[in-house]
Amino acid sequence: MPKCRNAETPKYRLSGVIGFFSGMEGGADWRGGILVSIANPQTFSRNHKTPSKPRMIPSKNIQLAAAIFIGFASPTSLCFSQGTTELTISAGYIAYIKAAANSGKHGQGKDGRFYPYLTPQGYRIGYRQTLSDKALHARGWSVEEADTALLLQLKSIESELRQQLQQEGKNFDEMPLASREILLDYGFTEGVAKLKPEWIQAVTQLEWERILNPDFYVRYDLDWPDTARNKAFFERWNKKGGK
Amino acid sequence: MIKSYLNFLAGLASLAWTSSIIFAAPISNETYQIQPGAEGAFEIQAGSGISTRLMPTFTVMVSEKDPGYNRNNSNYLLAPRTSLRWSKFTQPLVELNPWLKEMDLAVHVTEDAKGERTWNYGEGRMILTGTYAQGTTNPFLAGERVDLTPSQTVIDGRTVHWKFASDPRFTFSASLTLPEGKGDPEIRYELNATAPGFYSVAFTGAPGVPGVPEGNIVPQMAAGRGGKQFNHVVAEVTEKLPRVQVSDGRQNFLLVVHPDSVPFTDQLIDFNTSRFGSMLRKEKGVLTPVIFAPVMGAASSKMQAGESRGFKLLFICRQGDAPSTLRYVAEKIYGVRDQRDNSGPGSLSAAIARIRDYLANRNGKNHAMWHAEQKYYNYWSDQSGMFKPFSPLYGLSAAVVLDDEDFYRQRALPAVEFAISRASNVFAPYQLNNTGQVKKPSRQLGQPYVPLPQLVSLWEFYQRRTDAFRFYAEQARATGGINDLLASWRLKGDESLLELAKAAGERGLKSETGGAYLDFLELYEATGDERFLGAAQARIYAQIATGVNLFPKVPDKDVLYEKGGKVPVHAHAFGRNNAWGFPSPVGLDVPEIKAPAWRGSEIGLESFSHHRAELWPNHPPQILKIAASSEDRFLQTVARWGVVGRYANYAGDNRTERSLVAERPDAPEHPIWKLTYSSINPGHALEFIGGMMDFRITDCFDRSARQIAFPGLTMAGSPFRVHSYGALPGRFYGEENVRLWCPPNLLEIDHPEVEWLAAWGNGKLYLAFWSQSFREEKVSVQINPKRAAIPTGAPLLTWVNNQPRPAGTSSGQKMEFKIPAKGITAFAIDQAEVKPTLQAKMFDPTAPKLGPKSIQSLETPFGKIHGMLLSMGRGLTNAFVYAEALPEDVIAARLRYRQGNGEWKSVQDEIFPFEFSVWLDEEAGDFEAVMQVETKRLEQQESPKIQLKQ
Repeated sequence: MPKCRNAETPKYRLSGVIGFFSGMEGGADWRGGILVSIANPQTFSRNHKTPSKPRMIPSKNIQLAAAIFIGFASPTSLCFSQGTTELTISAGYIAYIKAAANSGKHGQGKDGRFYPYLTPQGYRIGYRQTLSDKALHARGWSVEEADTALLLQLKSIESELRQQLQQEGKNFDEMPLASREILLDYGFTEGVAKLKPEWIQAVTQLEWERILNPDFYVRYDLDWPDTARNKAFFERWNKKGGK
Repeated sequence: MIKSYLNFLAGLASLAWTSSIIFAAPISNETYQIQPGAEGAFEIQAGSGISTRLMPTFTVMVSEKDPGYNRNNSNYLLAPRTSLRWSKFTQPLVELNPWLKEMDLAVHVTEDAKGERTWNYGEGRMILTGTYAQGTTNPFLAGERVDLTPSQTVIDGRTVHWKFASDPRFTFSASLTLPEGKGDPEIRYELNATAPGFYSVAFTGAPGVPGVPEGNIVPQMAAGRGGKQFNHVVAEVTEKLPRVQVSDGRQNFLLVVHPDSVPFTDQLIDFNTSRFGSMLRKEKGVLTPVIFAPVMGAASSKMQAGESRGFKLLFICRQGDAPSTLRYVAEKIYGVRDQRDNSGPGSLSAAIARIRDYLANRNGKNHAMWHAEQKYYNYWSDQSGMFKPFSPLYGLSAAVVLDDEDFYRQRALPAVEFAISRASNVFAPYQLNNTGQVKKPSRQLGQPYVPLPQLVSLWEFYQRRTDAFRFYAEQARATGGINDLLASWRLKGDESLLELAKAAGERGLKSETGGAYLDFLELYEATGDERFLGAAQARIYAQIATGVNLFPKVPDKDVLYEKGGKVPVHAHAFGRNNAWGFPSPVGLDVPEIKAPAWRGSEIGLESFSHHRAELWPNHPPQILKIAASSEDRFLQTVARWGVVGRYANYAGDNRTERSLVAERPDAPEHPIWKLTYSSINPGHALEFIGGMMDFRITDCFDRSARQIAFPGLTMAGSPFRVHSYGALPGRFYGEENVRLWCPPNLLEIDHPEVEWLAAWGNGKLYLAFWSQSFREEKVSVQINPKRAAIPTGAPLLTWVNNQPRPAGTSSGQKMEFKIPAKGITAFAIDQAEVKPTLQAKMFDPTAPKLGPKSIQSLETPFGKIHGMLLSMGRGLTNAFVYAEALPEDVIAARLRYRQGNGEWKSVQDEIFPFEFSVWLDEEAGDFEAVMQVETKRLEQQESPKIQLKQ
C-alpha cells in the first residue's frame, strides 16, 4: 500500500482512496473528457436560473492532472490538503460526495461502467458530472475514470477555494476540517464564485444553527430541492456537527 | 279503574326488581314506547313501526398487555385497510378457519412450526404472510371477553338502571333513558377500573336483522367493500357519521354515538385518540349494530385503577330509506346545518385567482415547481422527476374561464400536448432516486393517456376545429359504458349512441347504489331524464355516507387556532422532512386566531385512511349540482360545508391537525420545507382550481334557481373528476348563447362575502353577484375599463333573488347595490364593450379549422415521429412535433421547419422527450418539418418531411 508523500504519520494512509488510482496506474483511458468535465455549478440560489455549463479546469489543475497522468506525481499526493495535517478529501468524504451525487448508481451498466443518464439538467455521468464529450454516450466511463475525474474536480475546487479565501485573508488549510469539507462540497456543486461571503463566514465559523437551517443549506435541482444532496448533507452534519 | 291500574304499575316500576321481574309500566314519548320485558329486555316500538327487542347486554374486553393496536392494512380481503387489527391477539386455527367459512370468505389459513401464518385466498389471488398475517381483526378476541347481563334492574321515572355483578378488575353500570318529546332512547354506561389495563366496552344488545342480499346493506363505514365485509371495527378517525345501521327493509335500527361523547376538540381526532369504533356484527346470518367505546388499544382504553370511562349511545328505530336516516342523524342528532360564510378567507373567486397566480408562477419563485421541459409540475413531494397530471382539462378550463392567454400558452397548452403524446399520465423521463411512492412509471410516447371522454372534451374545447382530438378520439378504445357512449354521441352526433347510453344507464338503475354518481348526473344532463338524476342522488348519498365527515357537532363558540403562533404540523411531515433531508418540522409562523369553531370544522370534508380532513374540492360541486337539480337542501348544506369559506389559496391536499392555514392567501408561497401543515403536491393545485371553479359556477347555478347555467364538459376517467367549463355557451336568465368570462381583473368588489360570475354575448355584459353572508349586504363594484367599458345610461336589466326588477340604466364603471342574505343579484348591461383576450381569439369565427391533413405520423430511422396542428383560435395555432425515441438511443434532436415558402428555421432539444412546439402564423401557409437526431453513437439521422396542412 503506497503512502501519501506528504503524510507526516502513517495515519494518513489512504487505503480507501487507493482504488481511485489503480486504473490510472494501469493506464486509464483519458480520452473520456474527464479533464474538462468538472464541477457542476448548480442552482444554489433560486435566483440562479441559468442552466449550468461544463467549465474548463483551471490551467493550474490541468497541469496537475497532466502531472498525474504522466507519472510525475504520485496520485496519492492529491489526497492531502497542502500545509495541513488533516485530510479534506478523505475516503469517507469522497464516499459522501458520491452518495450525495448518485447514490442510486444511475447510469451504471451491467458491465460496471458508467454511462450517461438523464436528469432535469440534462445528461450526467458517474457522480452527476457533466459530459464534455458526447462519445461517452457510447463508451461510458470505467469506475476508475469516474473516480479519477471526481477527485480531480475536487482538487481543482479545493485549489480554487484556497486561492479565493487567501484573497480574503483566510487560510483554507487552517480551517477546521468540517469547514473545509462544507466549503468544498458547495464549491463543487454550486461553483466557488457563487458562494456568498456571509455563507462562507457561517461555514468558517461553524455556526451550526445557521448551517443546519434549510434556508442556509438546501440545494436545488432546477427549481426544487435536491433531495439526495440535502439529505446527505443534513444527515452528515446534523450528527457530526450540529448534534 | 284504568287509572288506578296504571298507578299500581307505576308503583311497581319504582321498586327495585330483579331481572326476573317482568311486569312494569311502559315508558313512552311522542315517538317511542318502551315496554320492559323478561330478562331485562325491552320491547321498543317507534311510531307505527313493528316492535323490536333491545337487550341490556354489554361485553367488556380486558387486556393486561398492550393489545397491539394497528390498522388492518394488507389483509384487505378480510376487512378494510382502515379497520383495526390487534397484533398481540389471535384466534386458534381450529376456530379461525370455520369462522372464515361462515363469513363466506374463500381463504384458508395455515400455520408453520414457528407459528407464522399464511392466508391463502386462492390461486391468482392474495397470499398474505408476515406481520399482517398475524393478529386478529375480531374485536371480541382482542383481550379477555367478559359478557355482561344485568343482575338487577331499577326503573326510576323515565330511566332504567341496570346493575351488573362486579369483576375483580372493574365495575360496570348502565342505564337507558327515554327523554320527553321526540327524543331517541339514550343508553349510558360507565366502567370503573379496579386494576390497571386496557379496557373496551361494547353494547351488544341492539336488535339485529337477517343478513340481507348484497347491495341492500346500508352504506356506511362499517360495511366494508360495499357491504361484503363484517365483524371488523372502524375507528372514529375513519368514521364519517358515528352510527351503525341495519335495516330489514321496513325499519332501520341504529346505534348512534351521542354527540356529548364525541365533542368537538381543539385537535382533530387521529388513530390513537379515536374515542369509539363501529362495527356490523354478523353471526349466524344476523346483522347487528355494535359500538365499541373505548376502542381496545386506543389511548382512552388504557386505564389505571380508579379511572373510569363513561359513554352515551342513542338507539334509533325508524322507518325510511338510507338517505332519510342519514339526514336524520346528521341534522337532528349532529346539528348539521349551513353555518359557513366567507368571513375567514374571503371569496372563492379571489382564491381561484391566487391559485392561478401560484400555478403560473406570477411571483417568479416557482413554488409550484413547474418544469417547462416536461410540460408539467414536478411531482416532487412523492417522486421528484416524475410528472403526473390527471387531466389537461383543469388547466384548459382555467385559462378559458379566466380569459388568460398567457396561462393557456404557458400552462394549459403544454399539459394538452403532454396528454396527447404520453401513453401514461405517470411519466418518468429522468433517472433519479426512486422513493417507491409512485407505481408503474412510464416513458412511452406515441398515444394519448387521456381516455375517449376527455379527448372529446378537448375536441369541444378547441371548438371542434382541431382534428387531432377527433382523430385520437376515434382511435380510443370505447368500453360501452355511459361515459364512452355519451362521448361518442357528442363526437359523432349519432342519436342512436345516446339511446345506447340511456340503455346503459337503465341497466345501472337496477342496482340501488352501483355505478358512479357522476355518470348518472352527466346522463341526466344529456337526456333530462329524472330517473338518472334520482340515481345520481341515491349514489351521492352513499358516497357521503362513506366519504364525507358529518361530525363532530360544531359548538357555538370561538376556538383558538394556530396556538403559539404556529400552524400545527401535519402528522406526515415528520417522515417527509426526514426523507427530504430537512430538520424535524416546525409549524409555519402565523398569528394566533380566535375564530368560530365552524371555521375549522372538518364537516363537509372527506376523510381517507390517515387524514381526518381531505381538502380535495372535487365532490362538493357535484353534490351541489345534484342538490340544485333535485332541490335537496341537505345536499346543498353538505356541499357548502366542503368549500364555502375554507380557502384563500391551495393549501395542500389534506390535514391531520385543526388549523385555519387554508384561509391564508399566501399559504403555499413558501419554500417547501416550511409547508409542514399538509401534504403539498404543488401540481395538485390544478385539480383544486378545477374543483373550485366548478363549485363557483355551480353555486351560481344553484343560487339562480338554475337560471344562470353553463354546461360543463366531462372529465370522465380522471381522478378528482369535476366538470370543465368555458367551451360551451350558456344561459343567463333566459338569454342564450352567452360566454362564461371571469378574468380576475374584471371587477373590484369591496366585500369578501360576495362571489361573482360574468359572461358576455348578445352585445351585453352579464354579471351575477351572490353572497355567502347570512345577512343582507351592501356592495360596491368597480368594473375595470380595460376589460369592459360601460356607457353611463346604458340599458340595464336587474334580477334580485331571481325576480326581475324594472328596467333601468347603467351608472357606468361603478355599481352599488344590495344582495339579500344568502341571495343573488344579477345584471345584464346592454351596449357594454367587453374586451376578452384569449376568448376573443378562441371564438373568432375566422379561426382556422384544421382538417385530417393537420395530423401525421411517420416512420423514421429512429422510430416514429408524430406531428399535429393545434389551434385554440386565431393567433393561437401551433405545430406540435415529437419523437417516440428514448434517451438511451437518441441524445439530441433538432427540428427544421418552415411555413409555406418561408425561410427554414430550426430549434434544438437535448432532453427527452424530443418534442417541439412552435407557434405558427395562420396566413403563412402549410407547415413542413424535418426532424434530425443525433444517436447515442453520434450518428446523424433524419426523418422524412412531415407536412401539416390547415
